[in-house]
Amino acid sequence: MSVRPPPNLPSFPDGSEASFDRWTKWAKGALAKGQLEVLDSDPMATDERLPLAWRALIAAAADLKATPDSTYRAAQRFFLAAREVPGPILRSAELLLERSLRQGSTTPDVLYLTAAFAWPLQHVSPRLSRHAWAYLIDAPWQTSSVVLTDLVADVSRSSPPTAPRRLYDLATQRLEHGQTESAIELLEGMVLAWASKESLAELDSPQALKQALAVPDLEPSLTRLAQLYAERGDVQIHAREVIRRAVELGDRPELREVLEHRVWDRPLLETYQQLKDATVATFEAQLKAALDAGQPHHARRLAESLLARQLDRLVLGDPQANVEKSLKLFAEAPIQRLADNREARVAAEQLAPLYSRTNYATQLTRDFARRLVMEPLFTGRGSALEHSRGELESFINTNDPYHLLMKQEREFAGADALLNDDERRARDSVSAWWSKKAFTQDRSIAEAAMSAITTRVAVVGDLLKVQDVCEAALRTAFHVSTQYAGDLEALGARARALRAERGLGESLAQLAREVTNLELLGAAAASGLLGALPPGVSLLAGAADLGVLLFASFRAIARVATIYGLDTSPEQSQAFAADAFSLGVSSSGGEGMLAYLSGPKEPPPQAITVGGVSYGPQWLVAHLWTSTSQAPRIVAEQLITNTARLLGLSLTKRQIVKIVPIGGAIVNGLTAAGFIKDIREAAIHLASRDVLLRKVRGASR
Amino acid sequence: MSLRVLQTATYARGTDDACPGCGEPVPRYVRVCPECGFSLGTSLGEGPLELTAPLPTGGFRLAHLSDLHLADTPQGQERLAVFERWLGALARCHVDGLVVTGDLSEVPDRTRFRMAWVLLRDSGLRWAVIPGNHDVEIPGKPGAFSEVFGEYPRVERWGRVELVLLDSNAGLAVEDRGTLEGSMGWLKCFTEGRVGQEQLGRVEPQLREVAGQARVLLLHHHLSPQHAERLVPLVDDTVLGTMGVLKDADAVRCWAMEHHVALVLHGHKHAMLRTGMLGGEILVLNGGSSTQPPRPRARLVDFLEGNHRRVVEVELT
Repeated sequence: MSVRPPPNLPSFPDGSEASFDRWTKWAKGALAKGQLEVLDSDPMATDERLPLAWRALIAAAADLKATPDSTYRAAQRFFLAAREVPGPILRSAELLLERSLRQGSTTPDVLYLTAAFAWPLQHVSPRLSRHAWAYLIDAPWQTSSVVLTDLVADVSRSSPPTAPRRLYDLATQRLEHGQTESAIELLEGMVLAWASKESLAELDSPQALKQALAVPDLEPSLTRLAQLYAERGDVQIHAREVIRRAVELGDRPELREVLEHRVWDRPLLETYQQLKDATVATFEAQLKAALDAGQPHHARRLAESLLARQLDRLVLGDPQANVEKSLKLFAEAPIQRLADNREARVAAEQLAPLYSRTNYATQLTRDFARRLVMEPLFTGRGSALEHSRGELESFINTNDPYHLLMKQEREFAGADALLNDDERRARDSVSAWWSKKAFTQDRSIAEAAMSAITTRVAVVGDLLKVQDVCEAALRTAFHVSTQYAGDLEALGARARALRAERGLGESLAQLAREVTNLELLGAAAASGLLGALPPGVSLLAGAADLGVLLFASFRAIARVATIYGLDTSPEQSQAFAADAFSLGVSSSGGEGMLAYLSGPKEPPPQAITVGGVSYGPQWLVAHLWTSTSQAPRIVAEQLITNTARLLGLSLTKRQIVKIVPIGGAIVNGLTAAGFIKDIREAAIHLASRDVLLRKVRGASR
Repeated sequence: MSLRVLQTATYARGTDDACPGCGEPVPRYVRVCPECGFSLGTSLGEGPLELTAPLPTGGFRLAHLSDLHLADTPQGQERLAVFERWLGALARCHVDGLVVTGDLSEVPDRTRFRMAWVLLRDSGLRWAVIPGNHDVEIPGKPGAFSEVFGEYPRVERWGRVELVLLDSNAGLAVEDRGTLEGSMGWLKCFTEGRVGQEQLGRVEPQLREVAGQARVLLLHHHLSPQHAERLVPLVDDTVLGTMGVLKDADAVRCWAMEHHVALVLHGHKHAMLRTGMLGGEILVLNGGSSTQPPRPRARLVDFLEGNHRRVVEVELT
């Protein structure tokens, strides 16, 4: 093969759009005119413009630009059209792949090129195909489950591979070559792709794998994955579901043993159903097993289930609301009733220390613990919790909203000289708002609005689930926040000038209210309009309505953050938005506030952390049942899922029996505006507290 | 606190390796020759390693941290604590030098930079840092970061290791920023990067060719595409352009090959991907985020005799 200098190639790109445009134009021109001398080169030629040229040709055939960012998509499109690509493109891919294999590239675009020669082009370039297959087995791929899921789906769809090059064969050979982790990644990608799921957390029930059952290779793949999970000691629900399916598909006593005896990290509903009719001895055995397996959260759910079963049995839905009501009933029940109810007593004796040890601090759990501390039946001499009394008292005191707020007040108290008049007004407003949030039990308009909104969606059963709607809206809002926030540059400049002139005072809050009125009016109008639709249409409108509300709220939060000059990195912005939502919708004894104030101070051992941010542990843990040892991406997903649950599911399920009739467009519009107003006020007071405390602390250092 | 070794891999083979059985060139990493079935063994040399044992004579151990994202928030304080733990742990395992590849702070903040500077100074380690996109207010302009850590680009020499410290934000013209960054006002932080020829030109006179030297290139942004993260169905972060490759990745890659760089260390995307390879010889390591709970991870690179480089992935326990 000749090695000649490539003629007429553009200069090496300097990273500017224009330099890549020249390459894109060159590739299109070269293909149109057939001037393809670059394809006569040696794959290992030293001129680095050659691989660029091959890449540009592949991208041009896929109608993409010749930028580095388009390489993955170009390679994917090449794979999908591999059997039909013109000769020059095939040759470009051959050269590029040959070079990549010899150089050891393992990026996602190379994975797709390698796969193209391992499968659809297997008989077109047999030698390169053999090399590609060996490389697929042994190379340390820099890929994630997302890429693998895409690849498996594409491989399965385009030309289902046959032995000895099935995907299962690839996984088996990886295992034979000691590549256990990459084999597990591949097997997981296979299961996810065949089940049409995107993350392992979605494999949470037998139904989740239903779709995959039609795939011929599912049985061996699932069984092998199950064996690997069993060997690794995984306790996540997805591992259990995979093992369960493997047991159903074939008689595997060793897997059955794991399935039946491993302590799985179960969700609350499941623990409740399991304990619904169980004896206390069974409960105690399971509790011991959970604690022995190092799963205090699972142990907590077991104890909560037993308590709820005794005091507020579940009729339908999720038992979270029943747990909360049981805690309330327990805290208020006459002592004789508690003394007579042995099972509730046993549950309470186990539950209280678990709340303390997992720092599961809400008003309800504090009241519950306080009741135990005050009753000699539970914590007196000779009682079951005699030696835990100190620990429970500490739990109650360190999470006391009064103390938490007092800490804030103390910081503000000596700061008069540091604050100007406007800032002092803002400080008083912050104190008043936070106190109200902590100590009033009134039902906020946000909760009423949420109830109204969710009712309309929830009554249609499984057609539209409010949590899904919330989740979709939040995910989009969080990830493409800036598009929804709009251009805030002018507002930022105005706020900077105001901060320079008036400091961090009430003027900022006034500006925030002024500029977010549009969101209030817009959402009210949109919501009202949607509410006025005919009944058949309004079922779907419910979802749209909720989306309108969340996006409008998000815009309001973005404006507040900008006005107060908060840290606006995506991570912090999302955390701020999530806090504002949590605080805005919480009214039941200030649960959200307690979570906010106590969380960072003393995070529980398994707090949910997103990109380094430990966020709202109590609320999140309340609904958390997946293992925190998962990949950060999945944990990041949990922020969205859990905030959505907070916003939607828990309220829906709690309020579903109290249907609030929608009186028409006017009521609907008003509740929408009220909802956003609550979120906005939460954001303002959260931001105001943040900047004022920072100023006070900064000055005192 | 201590470090747990998760994985070690030694990279030694070159691009021209042929199968001893049939003489055909074979892909890297493969354990069995696809042409004749000859067993090639492993090129990764995975095996156990005792971190507290000193390196063989002539060896040099470089620790790589990235994307600390220190901030004046409770979460930022947690990350600070993790960073301090790293410094303590690394000081006990024969580390000859520590590099941090950008995003030391969540926002360009002088106090945070000073705090990091003091911690690094007091760690007893030899260290170097480069700016990430979160550390810079205006690309290419002096700011708080350069006030504390000095000007970039520059070259530093630590024994047999020569570090080329680049600012991968510096060449980013405002008009080159992606649509997302261009259109938004809320997120002041930009995400894309470009080194620029001017910066590479300034570095070149500072380089020295010394036998047995290992040249290490430090920059914040990626030189090759990272895997896409799905945001919503059918939409991933490549669509938004927030996690794109360094805009002049091809030019920098070529520059690295021309100048015999042995190792490229970067951060930016918070995913600690497996070791990559450029041009058959250059190892490329993405440090992810070293303060990312629940189990922060980092890498040590041991420069051993000859062309051997051992990559050790460690976890803070």
